[in-house]
Amino acid sequence: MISDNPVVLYHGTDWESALDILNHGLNIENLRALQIGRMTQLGEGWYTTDNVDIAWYFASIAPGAIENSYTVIEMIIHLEHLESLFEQRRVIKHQIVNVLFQGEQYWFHPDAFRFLNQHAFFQPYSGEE
Amino acid sequence: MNGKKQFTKDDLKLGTLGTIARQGDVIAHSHVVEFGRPLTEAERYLFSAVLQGFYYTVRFSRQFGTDLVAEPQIEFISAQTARYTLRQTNMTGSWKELLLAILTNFSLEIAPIIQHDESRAFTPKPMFAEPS
Repeated sequence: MISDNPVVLYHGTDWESALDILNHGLNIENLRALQIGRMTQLGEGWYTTDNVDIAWYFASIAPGAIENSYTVIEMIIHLEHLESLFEQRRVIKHQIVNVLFQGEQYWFHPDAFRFLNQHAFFQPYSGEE
Repeated sequence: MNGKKQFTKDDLKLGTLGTIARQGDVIAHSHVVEFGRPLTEAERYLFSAVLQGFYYTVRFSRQFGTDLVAEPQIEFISAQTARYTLRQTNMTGSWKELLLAILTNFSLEIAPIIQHDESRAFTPKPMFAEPS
């Protein structure tokens, strides 16, 4: 478990995709199956947020949630590791346009997946913020 | 670091208030909006008009995905609870951020939205204090 300088980010998705990430990590092929040929805000990649309620919003409209329940999972990562990814430009943080509240999206480039699978901790949403 | 416990569906907190159903080539998704107080008739009308406006903006701007295929359906289950349904051909696109912004600003300016399905993102604290 990560204890020093942890950053918690949330990802909303259908429950099957969530379990796949929790049990097998991020997988570019699975992600492409959902995103290929479709418009995404920052391009192909993994979208998270630091606001769990924003994650719940996106979970309820996730492509994989058709005829399916949805959920939120947490990724816990060392601040130093996240900063390292920022330096490598493998993560971009941006504000949602025209929404005046504290909550930002974090987009992870597929090149960051291997690092995240090795260094971040994924778990179901715990209900604690 | 992740090598470890295998999670199952029982470990997840599942959302069920929003529903997404496939109807042939069209995906219909419905969402429950709970307001912090009963809406007046004028506010209900405005809420419906705002969602209609969202549809036409997405439909004709072509900047947020072009997949909405019909005007949204809005019904008020009670004076402070609404359900709306959107119909489209796929579930990706930046219309999601536009809808988030529109509902959040409706919540800030007209009537507070205390819950949207399982999300409470629409009753935000403004980032900057209002001038007194």
